[in-house]
Amino acid sequence: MRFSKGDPDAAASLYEEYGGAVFTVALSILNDRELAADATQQTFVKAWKSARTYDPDRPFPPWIYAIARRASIDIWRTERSRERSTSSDDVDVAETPPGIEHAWQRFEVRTALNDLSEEEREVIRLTHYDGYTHSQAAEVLGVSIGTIKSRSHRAHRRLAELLAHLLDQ
Amino acid sequence: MSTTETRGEYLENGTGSGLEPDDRARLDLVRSALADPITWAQPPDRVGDEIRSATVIEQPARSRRQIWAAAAVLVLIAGVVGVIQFTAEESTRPSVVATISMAGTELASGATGTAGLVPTPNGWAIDFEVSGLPPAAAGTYYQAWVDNGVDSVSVGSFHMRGDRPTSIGLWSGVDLHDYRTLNVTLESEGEGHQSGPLVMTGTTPEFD
Repeated sequence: MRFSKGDPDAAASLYEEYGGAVFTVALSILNDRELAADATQQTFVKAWKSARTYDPDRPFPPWIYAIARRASIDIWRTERSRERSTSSDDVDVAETPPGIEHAWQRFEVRTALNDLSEEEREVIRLTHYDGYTHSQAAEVLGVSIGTIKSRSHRAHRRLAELLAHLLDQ
Repeated sequence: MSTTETRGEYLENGTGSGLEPDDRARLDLVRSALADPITWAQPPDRVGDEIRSATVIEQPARSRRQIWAAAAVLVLIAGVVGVIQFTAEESTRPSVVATISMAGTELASGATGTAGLVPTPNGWAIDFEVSGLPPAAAGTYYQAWVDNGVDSVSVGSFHMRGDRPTSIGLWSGVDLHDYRTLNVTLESEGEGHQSGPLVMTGTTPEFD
């Protein structure tokens, strides 16, 4: 793996693949786009600097997730301390960000979405995120409703396959 | 209908027969994530540029190996002198009063170790024996900390670039009766605060 040899191009291509998922984790924890962007940048630079500690025989996503989670928590605690330095409240070092509970699940969902084809991802986005019906999605994409239905069926089945390990827990 | 088919149908429509309540609850969480803007959010363009800049800028530092090698020789000489002095002190030093069992986190699950705590007139010596912890990459290092639940105090840094189980001498200027947790984090050079991920941790057992 080029990444584990410290190749900067490999770091950039990993960002292309996992940047969105890491940003989703950071945004879940920090709930602030700029801070989440900082955490995402720090995650990939730290991962790149620590590349030789990564075991290529192990899956990459949990490794990058752990670094993203840590970077986000550190930023969250720093911001929290800064906010509290002007008040009399004590800082509780064991306190965790409220969004952390679902961060792993969101990371997994985002990673699975990235593994779908562009067409499959688009139909899922239109129906779940934009809230379109099948006929509205067909109109937006300029295809028949039959095409949308079969594409949607295939996309959701594939998503269920990709998330099987999460759903079997 | 297969489980995948049933789950796919539930993900698509929010309905489906033959699913256990737990399964439905997990699928509902996925459906909720699919409707959440956070799941679809894209990082600002600056992030990719910053990552590329940071990783490319770091490259020339790797070619300065000769400077690092010379520095390493100086450190080695200083270390040898230190070992000689330390060995001379060893015969009069008190013995281990407590031993911490150290375990790797998910980032270093193969790492294990022990840390013997030795009170001395000058502070607490921590004899850290570790194995299975991978070498820190160039530009990174491991840092050991003692923690009392409120504050963390650094007790030394190391890199594990040897190829055998290692004994590392750490020192604490704070009382280890109060600082009961020993943590090891992975740090990056140029970031002088505890920001790196936790790779090993252990708690001090009760002792007098």
